[in-house]
Amino acid sequence: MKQMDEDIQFVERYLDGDTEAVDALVVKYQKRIYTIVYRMTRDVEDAKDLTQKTFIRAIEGIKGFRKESSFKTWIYRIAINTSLTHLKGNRHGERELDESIMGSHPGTLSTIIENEKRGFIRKGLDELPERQRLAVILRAYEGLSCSETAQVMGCSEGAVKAHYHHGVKRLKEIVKEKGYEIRT
Amino acid sequence: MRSGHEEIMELLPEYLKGSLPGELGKEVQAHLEGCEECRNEVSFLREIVDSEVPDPGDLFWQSLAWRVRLTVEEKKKEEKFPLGFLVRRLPVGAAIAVALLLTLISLYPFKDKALVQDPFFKDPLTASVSDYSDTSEKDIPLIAEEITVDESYLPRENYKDLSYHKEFASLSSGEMESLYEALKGDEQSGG
Repeated sequence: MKQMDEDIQFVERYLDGDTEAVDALVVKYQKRIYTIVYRMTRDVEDAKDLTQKTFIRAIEGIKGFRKESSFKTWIYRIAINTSLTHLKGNRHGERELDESIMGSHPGTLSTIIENEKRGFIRKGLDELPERQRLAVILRAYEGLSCSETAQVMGCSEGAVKAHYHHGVKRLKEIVKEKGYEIRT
Repeated sequence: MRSGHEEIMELLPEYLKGSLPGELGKEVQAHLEGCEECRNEVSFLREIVDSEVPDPGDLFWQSLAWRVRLTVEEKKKEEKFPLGFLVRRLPVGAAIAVALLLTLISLYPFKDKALVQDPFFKDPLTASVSDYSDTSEKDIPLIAEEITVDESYLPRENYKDLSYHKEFASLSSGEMESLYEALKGDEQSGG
């Protein structure tokens, strides 16, 4: 709540003409936005570009921020929409697993196996239907609550729960199919 | 325990992220000690979350805020003054326009406007490019004849009678000399 109030103060300062208030919001959320966008695109340059676009769009449309939800969920939603628009307009072909599986990460056998497993999980995540992928990224990776995820995705909490569970279930199946064990 | 198994399951992503408030976090922790299914879920979530995100570097983080602010301010200026884009490029535009104008001037086929609006009139300045291939010898005497009857040389009313130039042409050199002497004498005597 305190965090939400702080964000709203920055927004109000900006609307009152203090353009530097934007800097505080960007610095506060830049890493989280970049991480989400990277997990969506899996390309560093795209993620950098889309992170900047997300903030520009947010600030240009800041008058439309009604303060009913938190600034965090509002800007996450912009990031997701910006990434999805980019992905739809610029669909990359099948991503190779080389970088993550075969990898240039020499190490012990267990490290190699772990890298392989991560690669398959990542690929499995890419192959999930869009809503399931979003729910997993926002819930599991970003630690957003069901309510926050629902606000970002623009759907009900029930739908978020369903998408999340189907997504996680599918990822578990992928790990099992490949014969990997889950560390406990 | 206030929360049931299903509710705790829903809280696991936030628990892993450490974003649960203290009391709720402790409740989840206590549940995990006695629930294998939730422990497995936490383990799996750790597995999928445990993937690296490449760091774009300090330069990106340090410059992002001002790049965003700068871009937004630039766009605002353009909205306020839509022609700003053109004005900024005015020197370039003006240079291009001048160059274009000079090129057009240099390529324009300047000709002196014909003084006589007659399609048959051959302008002497363009005579070098005139085509006389359709002119035959028959046309030459015709032109000479037109000159002899030109009204600017002869009075209209009696030009046929005043054909003395033909008579002069028929005089011999001796006759011309005697005529000259006679006229000279008239002049001296005031005739």
